[in-house]
Amino acid sequence: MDKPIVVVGGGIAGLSVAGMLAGNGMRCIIVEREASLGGHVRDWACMATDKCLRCFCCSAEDLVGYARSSDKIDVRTGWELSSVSLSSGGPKQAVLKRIGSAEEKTEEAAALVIATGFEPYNPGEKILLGHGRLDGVFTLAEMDSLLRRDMLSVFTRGRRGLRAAFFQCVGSRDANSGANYCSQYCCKAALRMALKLMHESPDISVTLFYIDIQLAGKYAGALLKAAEDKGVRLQQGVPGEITNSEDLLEVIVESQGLNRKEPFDRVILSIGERPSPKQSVLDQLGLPANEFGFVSSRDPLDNSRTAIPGVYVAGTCSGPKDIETTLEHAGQTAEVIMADLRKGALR
Amino acid sequence: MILRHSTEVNPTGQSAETAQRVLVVGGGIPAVAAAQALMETGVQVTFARFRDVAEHVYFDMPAVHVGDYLRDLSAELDEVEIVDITRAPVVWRDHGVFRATFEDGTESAYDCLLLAPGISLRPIPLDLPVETELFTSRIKALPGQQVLFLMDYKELTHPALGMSAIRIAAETARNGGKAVVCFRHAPVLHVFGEALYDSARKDGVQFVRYGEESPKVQRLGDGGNPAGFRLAVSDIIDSENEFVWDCDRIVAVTGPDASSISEWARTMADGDLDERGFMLSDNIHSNSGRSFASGVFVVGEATGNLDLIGCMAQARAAAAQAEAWMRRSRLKREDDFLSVSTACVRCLTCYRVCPHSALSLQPQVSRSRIEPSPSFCLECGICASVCPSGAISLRAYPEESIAGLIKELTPSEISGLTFVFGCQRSAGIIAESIDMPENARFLAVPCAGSVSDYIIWGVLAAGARGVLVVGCHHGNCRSDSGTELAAARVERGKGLGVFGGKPPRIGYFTIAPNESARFQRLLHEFLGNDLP
Ligand SMILES: Cc1cc2nc3c(=O)[nH]c(=O)nc-3n(C[C@H](O)[C@H](O)[C@H](O)COP(=O)(O)OP(=O)(O)OC[C@H]3O[C@@H](n4cnc5c(N)ncnc54)[C@H](O)[C@@H]3O)c2cc1C
Ligand code: SF4
Ligand code: SF4
Ligand code: SF4
Ligand code: SF4
Repeated sequence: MDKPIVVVGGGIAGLSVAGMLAGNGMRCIIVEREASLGGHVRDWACMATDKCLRCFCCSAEDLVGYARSSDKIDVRTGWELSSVSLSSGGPKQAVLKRIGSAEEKTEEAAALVIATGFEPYNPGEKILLGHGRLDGVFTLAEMDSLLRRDMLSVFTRGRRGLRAAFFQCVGSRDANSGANYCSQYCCKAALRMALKLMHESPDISVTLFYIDIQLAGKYAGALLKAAEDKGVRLQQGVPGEITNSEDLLEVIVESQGLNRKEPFDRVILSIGERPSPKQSVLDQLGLPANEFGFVSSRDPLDNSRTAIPGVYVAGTCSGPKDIETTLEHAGQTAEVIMADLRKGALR
Repeated sequence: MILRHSTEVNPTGQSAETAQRVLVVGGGIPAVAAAQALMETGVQVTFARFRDVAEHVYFDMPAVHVGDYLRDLSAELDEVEIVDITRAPVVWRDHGVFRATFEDGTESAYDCLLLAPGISLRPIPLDLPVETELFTSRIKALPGQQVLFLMDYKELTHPALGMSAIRIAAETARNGGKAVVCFRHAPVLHVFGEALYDSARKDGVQFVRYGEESPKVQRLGDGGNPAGFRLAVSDIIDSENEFVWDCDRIVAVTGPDASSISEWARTMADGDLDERGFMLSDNIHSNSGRSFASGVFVVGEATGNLDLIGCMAQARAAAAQAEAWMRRSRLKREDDFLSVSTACVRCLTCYRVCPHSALSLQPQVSRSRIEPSPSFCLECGICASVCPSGAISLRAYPEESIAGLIKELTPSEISGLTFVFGCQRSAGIIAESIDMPENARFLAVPCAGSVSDYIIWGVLAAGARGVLVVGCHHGNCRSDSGTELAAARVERGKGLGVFGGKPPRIGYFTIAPNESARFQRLLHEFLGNDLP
């Protein structure tokens, strides 16, 4: 039991698995290829208006703080997994490699956790949406990053009475681009962002074009009600094209069977979660991916274990999730590792 | 089934050697999953099981039937002591542990509680025909019938339940019936959601999407058997054309009904509910299932979670969390960081404000007294900040460090300084990574609510230029009301008139640990500095 558990990926999923295992007395190594911990949530902003809207983003700071201070957790930022040797009873050794150098280190491992996360969808291939080409078109990720740096003025450019539109499901629920699934975080995130924008600049008006609104989890019902009370215009429709004419954006939306044209000043694209680009680690382990490219788990109700004994998954690398469900999934992963170690299932 | 694990009660608390003991109260899959997970990780589990817990309303997945799954899972509870109950046990806190008395009169002690109270579904809206049926996991495919599955009527359907209904609709259609699913929002909140929707469509299920205007359902004829209904709804995808259909049955698909959560569960968790009335399953402090009431964890449908996969993850995560919590709380039990001295005048203020149920009242014939339970205490310092007689000593309480800080400074140094007291969970984290302006002195406190009136006025009386208190955003205070307490103190202080010839410079704002830039802007605004 004194061999450490090697966690690949220092996003909230990996941090949470390691934190719970450490809290139960087990030693962990977090291998993170970036220079800092926290994963994508490091770039997301607080959505609090006059109260916390439960976006869960600040949980990353708690988790990073815990990992940095725990003497049971060894943090290796700037490192990646180079190879793993497996035996029938689980992983034996993990070879870690410092990024950008030839330095390698071999660690005995009691178990291996894959927590390598997701990639935000890059809307560049959707040329008609004009992201990167038209000034007023932002992604939700860019909005988060601006707010986090307290730079909302880059979005408003001092204009008053802005008309902003959210486009939901950009790159999700999209069979044409191989992502015929719901990303699960973005309806809630867009509603929160709408409320935050209206809080920061009360003269803004917001329209949210959705296919279907998906609300589950903490605070979800209250969010929709708050958005309705604040006058967010919720409109079923699929936006097709954005063009700019003078200082505004003309948006063509297919809504209720008709194509309509409507002017806006800013458009925010709610981009989906995509699997991380194929990783050599998975290939090497021989871990299968599901039809969408996420790491396959053993079965839907036992979805922290993989087909390989001693190799586990946590977080969005196994499918799209918001932070709340990522943390629950990671907690479950910690629990099944504890159970397997106790049963002696890992040797 | 098996004998009670720990019938003998040790009045002085437990030695560290005894195994950790958890009492799971509830029924349904989350309770069983949590009991099993705890058992697997080596904890002694007593499972007080309600047989007739509210209807299980999970998303029933294609390959899994909830009933079978529950049976399989229950069969694995071999090391769990199972007590079948009809009434919740009476539970109280005593010497840092929970004591429970069961309906058969037996009593046991536990380190923590895990509740899975279950929930009922929202009832069928009253304006639908009385024959309308409620969609539950008991509703199976209805072959040979024409069935309307009505979703989002008046209030949104829970996506997990909606997806479950689509599956039953597809089965109905495959088995020679006809199914129409009417919704405002197609529920697809799972990786396989779209596939389910597409395959149901292939099976012949017809989907109708309505908008602002609710569908109209009427009973046909005069109530003779068999019943028949007529649906009239405008399909917003089909250019608002009216869709009219006659059917045999109507099944309304709703969502969880927070008002049905049982009283015992609310009491045990000290009424820790969210805005919609669901029990707090998670908070933003990365704790699965933990409630404000120390040592109480809540999982399952009462947290608003109706998703089978989600419930399983939540229950197992809460089990791991509970175990880590018990380890920490056992270590604390041996520690003497919290005590109440004889200066106590028994005003009971601390007892009322402690957000984590760490102070209990020991009624005694002569004089009742306050008993602190270090194992439950989160060291927020709120109790010490409200005690009128300074009777509470808490190691983390910032009063002494503030006094020390002031003592180190000369009066002329103090007069130029604004003291910033920030919660260690938010402002404290930010302060570690930024340069504080020269004219501010930052001190991390355990909770904004620990900054007492005495501290605020003490600092101003020492000649400081101002005091700024920074807490976590309302609704994200780990100690529930600490933020509100701090806000109220500062507001009151501002109104307290003149101080040294000038109105006091005291301020307050809330922040999250990921708002470094905003923190610096607000700080400089308060200080009257230019932003660097
Ligand atoms: C624009 C946007 C806004 C969002 N806002 C919210 C929100 O408000 N609320 C919410 O609940 N959710 C939100 N989400 C979802 C949230 O970001 C995810 O749930 C969360 O980031 C998942 O965490 P993770 O640890 O699984 O993955 P990640 O955050 O992707 O972390 C994975 C980590 O693993 C590292 N890694 C990857 N591969 C390797 C390797 N081979 N070796 C070493 N390290 C590796 C990466 O560098 C990264 O640090 C948002 C998502 C997007 C796109
Ligand atoms: S949960 Fe989100 S909204 Fe609430 S304080 Fe944290 S970052 Fe802000
Ligand atoms: S959560 Fe909402 S916006 Fe995101 S993919 Fe699902 S339906 Fe679309
Ligand atoms: S410090 Fe906080 S948690 Fe501890 S006894 Fe006082 S009020 Fe309760
Ligand atoms: S607040 Fe102080 S005086 Fe009042 S009961 Fe508590 S310890 Fe005693």
